[in-house]
Amino acid sequence: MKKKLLVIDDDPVVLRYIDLLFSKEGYQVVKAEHGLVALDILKTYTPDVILVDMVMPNISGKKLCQLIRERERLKDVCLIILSATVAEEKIDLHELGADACIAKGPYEETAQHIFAVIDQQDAIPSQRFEGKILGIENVYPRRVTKELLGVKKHFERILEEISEGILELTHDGRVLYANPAALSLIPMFEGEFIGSHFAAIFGPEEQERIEKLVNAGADEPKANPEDTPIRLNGYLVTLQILPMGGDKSKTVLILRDVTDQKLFEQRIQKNEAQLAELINKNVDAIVIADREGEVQFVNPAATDLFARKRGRFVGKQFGFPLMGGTSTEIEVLSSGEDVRIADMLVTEVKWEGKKAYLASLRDITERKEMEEDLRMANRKILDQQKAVIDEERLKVLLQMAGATAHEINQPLTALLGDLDLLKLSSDNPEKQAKYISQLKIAGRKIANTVKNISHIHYYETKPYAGVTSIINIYQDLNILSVEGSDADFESIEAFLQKMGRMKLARAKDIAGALRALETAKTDLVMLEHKLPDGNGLDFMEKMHEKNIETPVIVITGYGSEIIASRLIKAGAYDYLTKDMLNLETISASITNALEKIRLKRDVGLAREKMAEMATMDQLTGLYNRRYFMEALERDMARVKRHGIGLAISMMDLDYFKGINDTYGHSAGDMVLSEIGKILKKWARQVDLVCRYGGEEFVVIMPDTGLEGGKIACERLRKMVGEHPFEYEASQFQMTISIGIAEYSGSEDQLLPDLIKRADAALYRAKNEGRNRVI
Amino acid sequence: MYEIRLYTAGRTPKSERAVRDLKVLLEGDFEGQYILQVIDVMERPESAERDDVLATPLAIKVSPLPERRIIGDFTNKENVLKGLGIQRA
Repeated sequence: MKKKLLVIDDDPVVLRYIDLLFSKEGYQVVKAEHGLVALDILKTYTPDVILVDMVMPNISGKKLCQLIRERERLKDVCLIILSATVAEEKIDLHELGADACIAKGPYEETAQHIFAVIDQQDAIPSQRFEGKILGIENVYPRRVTKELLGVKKHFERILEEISEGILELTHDGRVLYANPAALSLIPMFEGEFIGSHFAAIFGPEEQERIEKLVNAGADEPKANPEDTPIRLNGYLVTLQILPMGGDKSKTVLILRDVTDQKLFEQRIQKNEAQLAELINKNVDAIVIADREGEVQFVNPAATDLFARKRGRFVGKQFGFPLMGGTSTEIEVLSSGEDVRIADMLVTEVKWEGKKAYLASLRDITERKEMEEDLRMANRKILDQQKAVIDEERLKVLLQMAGATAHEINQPLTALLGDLDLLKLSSDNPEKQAKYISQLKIAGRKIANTVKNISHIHYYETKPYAGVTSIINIYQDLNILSVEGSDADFESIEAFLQKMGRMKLARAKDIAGALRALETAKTDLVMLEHKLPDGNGLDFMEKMHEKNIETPVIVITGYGSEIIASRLIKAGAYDYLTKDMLNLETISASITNALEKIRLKRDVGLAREKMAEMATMDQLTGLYNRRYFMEALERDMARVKRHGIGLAISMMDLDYFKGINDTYGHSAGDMVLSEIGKILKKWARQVDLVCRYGGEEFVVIMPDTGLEGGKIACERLRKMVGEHPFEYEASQFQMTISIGIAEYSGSEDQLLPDLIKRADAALYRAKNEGRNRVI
Repeated sequence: MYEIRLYTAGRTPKSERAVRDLKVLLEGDFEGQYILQVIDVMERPESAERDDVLATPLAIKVSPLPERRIIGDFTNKENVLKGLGIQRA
């Protein structure tokens, strides 16, 4: 049977030689000038031997060998490499899948080697001529070749590594070479791809575009525009076509994967659209300035705030926005004289690809004004509160001083007396001893008193001589210790005993503590944070629920600052950690807590008082003039609405000045106070009684006419006249003059007119002899 | 020689602070090398208009060129110098 041989070499002389030689030996020889032709032939032809020249212009011999071996049919074919560059380049038979490599030398010798290999293969099939390159002894390395090969290798490396896909095509579009990047993009295996037409990789929808691209200007480099990429196998690519020039030239195709980039751009565009909407709808003014401080963008809120149209805003110099902390206040020069205060928050952003600053400005002008008003109002209130508190404090101090003096007085006197006696009895040792011991007793009493005073952080008053109240400095402090552990309780107990002047009760858990607070008088709670049925926070919550105001000091474990601050937020007055429990810290903490609660109470009382002062007259307990005016206005409006009239009576104490002159101002105050009581007793539920002036009063009587008013006021006049006023062992009577006016809503009257009429009536009452109702 | 123009709006505690901050900064590192001009936009609105002041406190480095502006809080030295384009001595 004839053996089939395929020889692939670009040198026509070699081809002819081999053809002649092997035909003579009875082979069927097929020739191929280069790789593509060979591949085409091999589609249908299966030779027994293939001779491949390593150095060929299109598909390299190396690649060709690999492609050949990939084909199933050609797996066992005897593949011999003919290389002209054995001296300069290493050949790895294994890598190539070749069976032998023969150096191209003199034809005769080369032919001999070929026959040798074939015979050997017949004898022992699939035996490789490893390591030995036949005929190598006849060749010697050539420098130029070596350099060229080096350069070739260098470029091959580059092509392997770059991320762009590179295709080498014949002038009619058949693929000679594809680098790994290109192969990763196409939907074909290399084996199929090499030799096929490059347009085959694109889907039918792109064929038209490809054709247009290829045919437009054969010798010029062309590319498809970047914003309209071509779809390839699920990717988006751009195509660059570079003709290599020359006759029968090749073309290089560069493929760039822009899939991700496109998606990314789309995403950015969407984001930018969303961002733009957000910015424009935003109620805060937004100014975007570039790195030089030039305004790039402003939203509608910004044009409003700065009172500038966009045209006069964008492009102007805003400035490099600086911030201290979380935000900064700046003054915006708005329209004309108007200066707005804005809270500016700056963030770095990317604007059109460059670094920029986004300043978000919130108009806080109104807020600032309100804050200032509030601050002034607060200051006023605080000043007033302070005045009231100081007054109370002063009273307390005076009382304490009084108490102290009282308490010390006795032992001090005794002490001095004893000293005198001691001096006198210098001759009587027995008496001396007695006096000395008495001195000691007195001294100790004084010392104790002083100690108590210095320890006073809590006071209660007790009545003294039936008139005033003094501080009870012997008051014991009732402390409730809530402690689960016996050992801990004992140590606390030890400390507190040293303090003295206190009664200690104990509860073992939260439930027990709450019971104790509800039943026994407790001035202070010392609470262990970790309890059997909960922790400090639970306890504070329960106290809060039950509205118990007793001050609480919590004892926590080591280093638990966070818990401590939470406890204080929950209402605890102070905290102590176990490792710093000693007499000083405990007593300081207790003092502190009691101070706080006292202050709390003081402030609470002061506030209440002040609220009252706003509408009440302190001395008489009646409403004050201001309140009267407001009330009258309201009542008159009501009359207009409902049509049922009212009456007002103006009253004036007769000869009030005389009382002050005769008995003094305290008597006058006493009288006014009494009158207040009488008026309150006399008035109906619906009447409003007010102190109008020094000794003037006014009553609003709703649903009352002139007649009814007269009758009521007459009754009052009698009550006042018959009331016995007592002051310091003196007794006297008072009378009152009253003037009434009515308002039925029919006449279109104003408030001052009504008052004038009442006043006029009062005047008449006075003139006509006093102690009467007009 | 650096020429700096500082614009404030009225004599508020805030504008006083801005003036003080900037002065301290300049005195500290550039003593004798700067001229600081403080302008109240309320008193000299024409100047503010000429320099097109959008908001205060605003500091402008007028010379040497290029002109640079900063607006806001002047307490951070680094930021102020960077914003005004002044190299540290």
